[in-house]
Amino acid sequence: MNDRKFSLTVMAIFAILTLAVVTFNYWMDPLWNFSHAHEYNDVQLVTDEREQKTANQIYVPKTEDTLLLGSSRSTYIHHDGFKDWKVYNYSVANLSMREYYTMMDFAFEQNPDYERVILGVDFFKSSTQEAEAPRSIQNHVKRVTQPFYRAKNLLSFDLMKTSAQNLQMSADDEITEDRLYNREGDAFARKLSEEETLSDTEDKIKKFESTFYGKSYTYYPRYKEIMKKVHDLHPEAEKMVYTTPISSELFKSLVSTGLYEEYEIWLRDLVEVYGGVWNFMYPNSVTNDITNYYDGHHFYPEVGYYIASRMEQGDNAEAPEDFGVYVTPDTIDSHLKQVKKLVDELN
Amino acid sequence: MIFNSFEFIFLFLPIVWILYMLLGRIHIPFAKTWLLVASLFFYGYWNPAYLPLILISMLVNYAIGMFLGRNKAKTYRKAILTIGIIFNVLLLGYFKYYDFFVENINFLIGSELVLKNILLPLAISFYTFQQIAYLVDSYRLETKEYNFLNYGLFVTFFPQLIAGPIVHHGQVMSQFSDKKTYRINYEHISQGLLIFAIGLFKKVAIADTFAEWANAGYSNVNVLTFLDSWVTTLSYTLQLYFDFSGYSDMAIGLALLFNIRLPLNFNSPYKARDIQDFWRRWHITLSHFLTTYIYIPLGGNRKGPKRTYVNIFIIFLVSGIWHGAGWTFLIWGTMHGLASIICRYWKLAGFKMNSVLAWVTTFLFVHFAWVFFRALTLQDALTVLKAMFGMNGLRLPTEWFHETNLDWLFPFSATTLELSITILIGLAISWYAKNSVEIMYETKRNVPMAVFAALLLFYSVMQLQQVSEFLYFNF
Repeated sequence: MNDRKFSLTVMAIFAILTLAVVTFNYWMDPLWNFSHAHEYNDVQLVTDEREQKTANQIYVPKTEDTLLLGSSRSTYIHHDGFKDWKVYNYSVANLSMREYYTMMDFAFEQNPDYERVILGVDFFKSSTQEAEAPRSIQNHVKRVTQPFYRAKNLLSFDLMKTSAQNLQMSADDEITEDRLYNREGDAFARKLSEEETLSDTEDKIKKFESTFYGKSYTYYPRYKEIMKKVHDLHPEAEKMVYTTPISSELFKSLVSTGLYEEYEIWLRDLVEVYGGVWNFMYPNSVTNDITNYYDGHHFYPEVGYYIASRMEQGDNAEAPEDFGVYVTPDTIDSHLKQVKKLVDELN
Repeated sequence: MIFNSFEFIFLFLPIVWILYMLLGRIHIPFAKTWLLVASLFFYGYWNPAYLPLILISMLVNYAIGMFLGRNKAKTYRKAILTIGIIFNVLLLGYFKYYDFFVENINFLIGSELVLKNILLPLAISFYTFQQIAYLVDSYRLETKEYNFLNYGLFVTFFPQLIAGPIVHHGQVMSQFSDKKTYRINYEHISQGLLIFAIGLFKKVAIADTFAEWANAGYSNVNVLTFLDSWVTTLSYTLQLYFDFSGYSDMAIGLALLFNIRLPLNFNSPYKARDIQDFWRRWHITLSHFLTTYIYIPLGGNRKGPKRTYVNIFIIFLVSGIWHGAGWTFLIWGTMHGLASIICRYWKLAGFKMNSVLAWVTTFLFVHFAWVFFRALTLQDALTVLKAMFGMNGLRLPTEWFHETNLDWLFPFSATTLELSITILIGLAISWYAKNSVEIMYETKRNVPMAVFAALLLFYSVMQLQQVSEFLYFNF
């Protein structure tokens, strides 16, 4: 073999192999850097929601009129749960309340036409332990805006493995994980048996009691101040807040570890800052049914549809009647009285 | 810019190479200018602030070298050379050793001189040495090259700019002047691709794997036990070899794509059978520089045994200081100096050692010395060495008794079996395998070899998400 042939053979083999991986990764697009969708990439693993969704907004421009921000719980609210609003869901796992500000700001940089912002708030994230550390989306923005970010991503064995897993799951059309996405940014969860649900809930309650509730929890003194800053950001857009509904089992644990008073303070602060809050976090027909959750605090998308419908349609929502109350400064006292009564009934 | 990065492999290299060959056909000075500009861009890509320094250094040295080479003003020639060398040493001294010097002054006399926390400019150790050699040879009237373009390329040629090999002007100046350098040469391309692929794989697949374990261990020196410490130190010994020789392979390969032959920098150093042999195989161009421009001018071995030993010790001390501003490097240099003196004395006395024993002794000495080279402080080095001698407990992984539970004192990112096998493979490659240059020159370039090179390139390119710098960028 002469040197010319050798050089060309090396380059040809290298180019073919590299192109094969690049093409496959592009076609599957597991990092949501592109917009194409087909039946073999309609089930997608989570690699890093912050990165995936941040990149997705930059490289697949958004035209929605409503921005939804929240934690992993809010990922299960699907865009088509809203009839009139076009919603982009920028919810991510383990969201700190300190992240709303930079995430909202970034989303508006990408799409200044948002008319409203919906904030999903979690009670357990209002503790000093969970809220004290400053958090920002900026590092992810920096990462996804690096030169050749998309091209570099395509050249990766690790990503190829993810692509292959996505291909397998898309071909099977099965939800086999706790959180998988479709190409429209909606999250799905594997449906658990009642037995598995009870076991997972028990574990989760233990974790909450040892990690988030009880002695671990002190209400973060700056919670109201920071939520006010979030409220005042992009005043041209309407702000809506809803509380994420946890199962009544977990709510009982919250009360039993002595945090009911903090729950009330939290709710009052939110109502004061935002003028009103959609409260779903209290004992009701949805939260009382443990099968609406896969672990006691992550609800299934069906519940997400109720939440979306209630916030958008109010009394005309396609949701159980007792699920979701819009609480204002005028109704907060009576609402909390009602919740207290329901809590007492639980015990 | 780093060789093992997307920007370099898919953008910089193809663009620079294609234009270089095209311009070479049109007008050779255009091709040279293009390569010089590209090399400066390559250098400035990390931090443009470094550029003025390298340009000033180049211009000053070129001017002095040209003056010395013309053999005029004979009365002042030595003074001019001295000024030139002092300029280079001061430049290197200020940027590399100022804080170390001030720290020690403060410690010794209790002063409170302020540290400047100077950021070490990339490649300064390499291009300073290259230019000192150029000045000395100009003084000796051994340079005949006054073309600034060629000189600029000799200093900044991007394949060897950041971490060597330390190129002697005599090795490359004539190549930059040769018309053939600017024509496509498939022999060079095939050799270059092959050795570049090997080097890239060494770095991305091998060195970076060992780096993870070496870094884990050296970040937790206080909890290392006997086995942990050996895993840690062997990982570093292998990381350093594959990292640095990988860089040199890539440099040689890249230069060949541009029809420039760079000198060999590694020749299977862990196969060495004595410490002198080791230094003939490890960082060969540094040894060559130290021998030619320090050892021989000091008198080499021409002034009797005592002076010879002193001279040997001096060059290893310089080598230690050159590698870094710290006592750990000084101790490392001292160890190698003493070992070289013993080695020379041993040979002159006519002692002999069984070759296997000689090889094991040499490897272990080098291995122990690397502990000082890697440890952040003297205390850390001693802690690691104690652990290696079992003075911090001997603990076996419980997985040897219970299959599932890995229980090192601190977790490596792999099981004991993986660690053991990988380290053994690494050692086997460094001890028994043909090295990359031997493969490049001696192996037939056929279809299996083409597939082999392509697979190495392909695998490495698929790992570019985890770009890491080369160890020798710090020196």
